[in-house]
Amino acid sequence: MTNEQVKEILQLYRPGTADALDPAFAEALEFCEHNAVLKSWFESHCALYSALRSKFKQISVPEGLKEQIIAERRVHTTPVWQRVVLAAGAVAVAIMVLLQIQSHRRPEEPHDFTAYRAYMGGMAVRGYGMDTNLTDLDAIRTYLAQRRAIADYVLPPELRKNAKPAGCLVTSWEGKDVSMICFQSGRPLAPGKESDLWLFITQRTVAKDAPAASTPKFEKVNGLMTASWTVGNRTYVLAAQADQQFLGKFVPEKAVL
Amino acid sequence: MAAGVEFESVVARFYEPLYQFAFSLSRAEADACDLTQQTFYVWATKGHQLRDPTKVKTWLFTTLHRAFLESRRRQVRFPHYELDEVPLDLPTLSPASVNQLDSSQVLHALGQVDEIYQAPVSLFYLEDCSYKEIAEILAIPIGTVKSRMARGIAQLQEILTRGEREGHRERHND
Repeated sequence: MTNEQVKEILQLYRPGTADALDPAFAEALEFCEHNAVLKSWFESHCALYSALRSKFKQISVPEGLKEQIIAERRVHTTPVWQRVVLAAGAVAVAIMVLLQIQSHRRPEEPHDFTAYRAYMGGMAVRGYGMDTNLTDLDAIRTYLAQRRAIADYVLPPELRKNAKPAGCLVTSWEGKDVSMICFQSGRPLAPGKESDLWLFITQRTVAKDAPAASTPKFEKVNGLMTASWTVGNRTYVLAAQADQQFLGKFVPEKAVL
Repeated sequence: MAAGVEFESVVARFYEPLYQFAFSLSRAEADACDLTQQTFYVWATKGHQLRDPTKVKTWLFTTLHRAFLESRRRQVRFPHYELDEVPLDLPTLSPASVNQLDSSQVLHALGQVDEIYQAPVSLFYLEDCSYKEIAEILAIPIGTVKSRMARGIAQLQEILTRGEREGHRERHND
């Protein structure tokens, strides 16, 4: 594959999306990893994508639109006879679905926390598009709440004190919501990068083997140092391309309260 | 009652991204509101026909896009273009210069992109849909989605770069 072919494929790559898992991009991404020129071009591409995406995401929705849509629907009510027919159909479908479920019931496969952590870490390293570049933690929380994303998190005091917020995005893993808050640790940032320290917050039920304790567990994953812990019903992963000592500046080795 | 709750939950989940998509296409708040409301009206009356619940998002975006096209009364099918003539060396637009723009300037630039490319470009930047989903929304093959996106992105970046250069020139002359 030539450099031009790699560029042709990756110009449509969207960092921070499911494209990372799309086989159509896999080979070209692999090429980039081993070619300094392509790697630099790809970093510029990801940074430009993120910048433009954030502009599109800034389109604000008029107040009251949701309420108006819901109110409109109430005006257009379905006739009674139609509702009876629909209800009868729905009952029949429900019975069929229940029968299908009963006959094909299998134990649910556990979701592996290692896979979750690796996926999120990979997303941080490969590139992502921030939904907003807010640099105020309260504003970020408000933004996430407005997006109906996870916003009831508790940040370690060390992280609040020693890192500078750079924005956030809302994503998901295996159907579970994930709020990703991006920070700047204070180190010089690589060209095109807007952050170098990432906090992922999700539901405790994200994986059966998710950490149960509030004491962070440090582990190296794919070149990233990660710290994982759980407080209440939220599970946290803090990640950076650094060693444990560096990450320890942002999360305590004792329990996060 | 349950249907009402389900409807409200679908509205809560999708009205924002749908409005953003509608606004990026129409660039007018009233039109975008109309398109979003029209989409949910169609959902309220026909949504029960959708059997696969994982397709709700694609269904809604497809419906909105169709409503937009109908509103423009476009009856001529768009020709399909292939990827071969798309320039690979895109204009040298920097993330820093984009960060200095506001959202309306970027959308204004999108409005100058050939209309056929506008929806693919919006979906490229706005939504986390897979290329397969985008192909379903726009009712065109994946190859055509990619070629339209590539051309549209090139045009958008060229327009923004031109705007940036003109801005520099004006500041210089002042």
